[in-house]
Amino acid sequence: MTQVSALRSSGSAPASPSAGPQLLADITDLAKYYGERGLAGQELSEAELRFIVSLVRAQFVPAHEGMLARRGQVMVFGGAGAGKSSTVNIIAGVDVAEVNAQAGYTRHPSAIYLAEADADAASWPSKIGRLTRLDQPTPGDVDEDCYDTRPVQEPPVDPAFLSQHVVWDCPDLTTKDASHYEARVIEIAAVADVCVYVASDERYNDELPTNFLHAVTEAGKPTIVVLTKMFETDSAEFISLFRQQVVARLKQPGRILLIYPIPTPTQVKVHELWTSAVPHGANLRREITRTTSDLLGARRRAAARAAEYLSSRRGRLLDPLARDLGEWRLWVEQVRRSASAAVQRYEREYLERMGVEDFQEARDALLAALPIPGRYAYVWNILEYVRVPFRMLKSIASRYTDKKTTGTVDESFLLDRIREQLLDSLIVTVAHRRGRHGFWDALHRALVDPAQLRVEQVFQELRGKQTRELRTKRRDAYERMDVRLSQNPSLLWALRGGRLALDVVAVLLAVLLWYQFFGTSVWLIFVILLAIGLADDLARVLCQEYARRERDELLDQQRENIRELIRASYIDELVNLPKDLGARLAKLSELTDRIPRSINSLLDQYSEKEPA
Amino acid sequence: MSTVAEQGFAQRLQAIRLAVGELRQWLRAETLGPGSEADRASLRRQVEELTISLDKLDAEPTLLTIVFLGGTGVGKSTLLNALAGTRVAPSSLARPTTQFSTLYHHAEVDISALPEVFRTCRRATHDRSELRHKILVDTPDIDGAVLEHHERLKQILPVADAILYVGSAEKYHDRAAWQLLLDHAPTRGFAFVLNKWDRCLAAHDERTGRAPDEDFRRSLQEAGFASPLLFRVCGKQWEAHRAQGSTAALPIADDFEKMQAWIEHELDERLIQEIKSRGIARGLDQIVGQLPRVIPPDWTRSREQLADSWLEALRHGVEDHATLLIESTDGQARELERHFGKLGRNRIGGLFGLYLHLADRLVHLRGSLLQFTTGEQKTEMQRIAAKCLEAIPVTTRQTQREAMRDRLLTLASRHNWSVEVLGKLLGDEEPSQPLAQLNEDSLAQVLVTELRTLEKDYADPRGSKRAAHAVVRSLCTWVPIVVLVGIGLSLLYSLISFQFWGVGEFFSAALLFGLTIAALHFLMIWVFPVNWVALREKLRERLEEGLLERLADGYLQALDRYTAKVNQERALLTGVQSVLAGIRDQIQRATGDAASSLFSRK
Repeated sequence: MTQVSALRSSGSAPASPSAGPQLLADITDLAKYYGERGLAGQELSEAELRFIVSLVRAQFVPAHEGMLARRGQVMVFGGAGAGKSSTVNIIAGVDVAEVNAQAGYTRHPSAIYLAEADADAASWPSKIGRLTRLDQPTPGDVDEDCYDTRPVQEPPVDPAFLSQHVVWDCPDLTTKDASHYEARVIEIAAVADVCVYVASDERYNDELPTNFLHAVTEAGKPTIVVLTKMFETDSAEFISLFRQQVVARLKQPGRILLIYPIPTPTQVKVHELWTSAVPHGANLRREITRTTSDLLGARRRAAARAAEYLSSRRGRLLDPLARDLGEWRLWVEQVRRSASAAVQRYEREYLERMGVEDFQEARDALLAALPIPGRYAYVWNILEYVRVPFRMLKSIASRYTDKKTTGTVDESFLLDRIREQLLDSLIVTVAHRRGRHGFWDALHRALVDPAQLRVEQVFQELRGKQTRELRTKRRDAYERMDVRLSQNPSLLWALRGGRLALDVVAVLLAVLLWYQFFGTSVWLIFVILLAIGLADDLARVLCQEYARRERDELLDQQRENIRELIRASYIDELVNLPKDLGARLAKLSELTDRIPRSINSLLDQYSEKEPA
Repeated sequence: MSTVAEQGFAQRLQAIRLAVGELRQWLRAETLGPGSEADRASLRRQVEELTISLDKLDAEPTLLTIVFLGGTGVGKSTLLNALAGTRVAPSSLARPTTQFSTLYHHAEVDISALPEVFRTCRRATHDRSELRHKILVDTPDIDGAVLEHHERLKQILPVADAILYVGSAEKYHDRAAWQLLLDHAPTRGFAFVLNKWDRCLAAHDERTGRAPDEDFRRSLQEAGFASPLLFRVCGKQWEAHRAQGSTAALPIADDFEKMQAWIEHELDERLIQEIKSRGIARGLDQIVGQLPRVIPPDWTRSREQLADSWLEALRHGVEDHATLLIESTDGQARELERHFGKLGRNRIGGLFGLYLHLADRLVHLRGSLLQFTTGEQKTEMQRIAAKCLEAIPVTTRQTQREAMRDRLLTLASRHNWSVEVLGKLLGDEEPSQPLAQLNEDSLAQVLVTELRTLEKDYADPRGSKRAAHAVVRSLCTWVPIVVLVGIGLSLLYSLISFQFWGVGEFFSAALLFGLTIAALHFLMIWVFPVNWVALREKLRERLEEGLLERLADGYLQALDRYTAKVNQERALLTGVQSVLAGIRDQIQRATGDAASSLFSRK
């Protein structure tokens, strides 16, 4: 059983076994997002982000088997020319790393280990993070995202050490091209069990390597410092300077296991240094072995520390996302507000103005069904003639009494205006916020770019569909009435009878009342005419009521339609701008909760196992 | 050959100063041009650096400032000590070592006349005549963990005429220093030192890689220095050697003495002047190259296009507003009809006038039946207009106003105009701005004005209509009187002739009078139409015209102000650009090429 699988099976009921893979997936998503948006101007640097991703992968989702799991990983890092490769050779006790005077010669990490039966190429993962495995030992200056493995065949000074450890020779962190290969060092730092920081008298307090030292110690890596290049006589002063200027500023100075000077004798070729530094090698190996002898325990402790590190970086990791989400939410809010203003304008300027006049068809259809057909049609015709004087009088009166109708607005025209206004107001708001966050600039570009703004098509399609449905619905309403009346002759005749009865009742009532008070006179004719006219008016009012009911139903439908229309074609489309970022952010917004939760769960899982 | 010290050069300098002064002023002001803040910041930096060079030329025309540049621990201070032959700058094992810049200069050089930043440095003076016209500046590092040092270095770098880039075995092309090298290579002369040459030799393994000096030279060639002046030096050994005054040769052969000879003797007055004029030409070149990023494009054509689309948008907006106002008048249609009706019959007197007045009062049933009033139309119109506006919801008015502003700004934004600046120019917060023309008071004013014009046209028409009105008016005034007089005369005649009228005759006379009045009434309605539906279309046209007239001017003026400002900026900057480019060419033609190896290819 390998040590790592032993570590896994020995776990006493882990709090959440999926926290690691979940965290890795989430952080990878986040890193991808940050990679695309760029991190310039944010508190989180790309290197730090990369380190966090690699660290999560190495500590919480480790490979099950192979050399990475089996052996203690010793990583040697530092500035260019500080003597990394020499130190690798000293620790390995063999001349295997290429020592070179050319600053920034090494461009990819090399794994140095003792060749053994079970240590063939297949026992190495084909990828460590972004680094692809090269099966052949390759010159250090091959500038690709890869790592090569260098099994040592001849027995070195201390073969036992090299059969239990892998020593990593890494590229530098400081030369002008290092920004494009420092990620390779970061991958190895994440898998390392012990780090060895090589610092020369010249660059022991350089910004970049020192920052890296801060990162690895905070992430929980036990670290050994090797000081190089000074004269033998300067060693003591150098160590004390290093303590004052570098170690004293570390957040976790306790993770520096040892500060070890390797003075450089003059007149010695640097690549031959390892031979004369045999005692140094033994001391360094002893210190490394002290940590790695209990590899399982060391890794468990490292995982606990890594969890603490992640916890301390939570804010830095998530703040850029939180800020983006803040801006995006502001945008969503803005879109919703503008959209609801658009809906309100439509209701105010179109729906509320829509009179019953637009539904005269319904009223007229009903009225048209009422006349008596066939043989007795003349009865109706006579009544129609009788009604004429009243209608004339009423139409003259209505010229003075009716309020002028405002005339309905062309709906498509109004909708075009409303949509134009909706977009305009958003574009102007966004344009004003352009300087505030890159998000608004991208948004502005998307809003004025017809290729990105797809609202028009969605709108037209949905609007066409709604208009057709509405028309069908309206037609259905009449047809329904027609069908109902034609299928139901008794209802039709009841209506016609009722209409006629109305006239009869009105006439009878008028005659009786008149006769009661005034007796017979020639004025009775006028009274009868008036009664028939009033009855006609009443019938019209009733039909009008029917039309009003139809209208209200349709209005509700239209109110719903406009909401649906604006939501589907504007809100849904606009909140996704620029370029589907909205959908993405909506998904990423889950991470702001889930990543801290995963980290907490890992913290619980590992801290209880760490001995006090 | 012209040099910096000559008369002609002084005139050029004056011209540069003038142009650069204009540029600095522009950089301080708010700009409408393109280019990011970063573009303007780098232009600002270039201008400041050029100004410093000019200031130095004024104070000490032949003084060369050589600034040492390199990472911590490469041995800049050691090198200065070795050159000085004594310990003028601290050097030790502590990293970073040097906190403040050290000036190593001749006692006769008047530092107080030089740019400000020189006065903040530590100073070490000497009286060596071979270094009379050179200031050597030892600087803090650029790559250590103490970040204030980087700032101090960046403050002192602009004063450099030439830079001595110091590298060591470990860090001859480290990131931070290399970036500064690339930043300053376009404008400054560079010489290079590969210090700790002994360590380079010890570290070099022939089996792998290149020797450091070879690698360094290669990097420099990539950076544009075709044949860099590179000295391989063992600074520490020479520091000790010179301090002891020893003249013996070092165990390792190096280029220190060559370097010293170059600084002390080869850098003569001619070479110094060439370096300085090249530096100024390069500085000018950089500014000339940077200017196109911030020069605004010519807006004249764009103004025409935008003005066209604005006018159309304004027309739409005005239509909306006119519709709003017209619809608001519909609620007052009866009042308006009555008002216009009154106007038509105002000058009709006599019996018919009395009849009309009574009929009007009866129909509207307000006020005393016998109250004759004229001349209250003014207040009447205002009252009606106010009532109309009240009928429009405030939110509707505001929505429409904002819609119009947003439309205009969006159009501007589509034409790449700055929405922020235009927004300010159009802002509806300030009463002087065009959009304020659409506030409540103005709308009421427009409505009243246009209603009054309509009223005036209605009451006082021109041409044939005027004659028709006059005829109808006199007919209405006189016909009833004539008819009544006729009836009176026939009644008188009947009395005289003792043929008294019966009920029938009286009824006929009354009928005749009634019919006359009715006929006149119809005639009047036909000639003075009071139907609001017909009038409102006229009012709509008037409102649209009136609003457009009020708005278009304001908006187009805002556009003109913007265009004028942009074009002014453009003229200023292109002027500066051509002046500077001209002087650059003159200086380049006049400069020899003894110092060309110190400068990078462009």
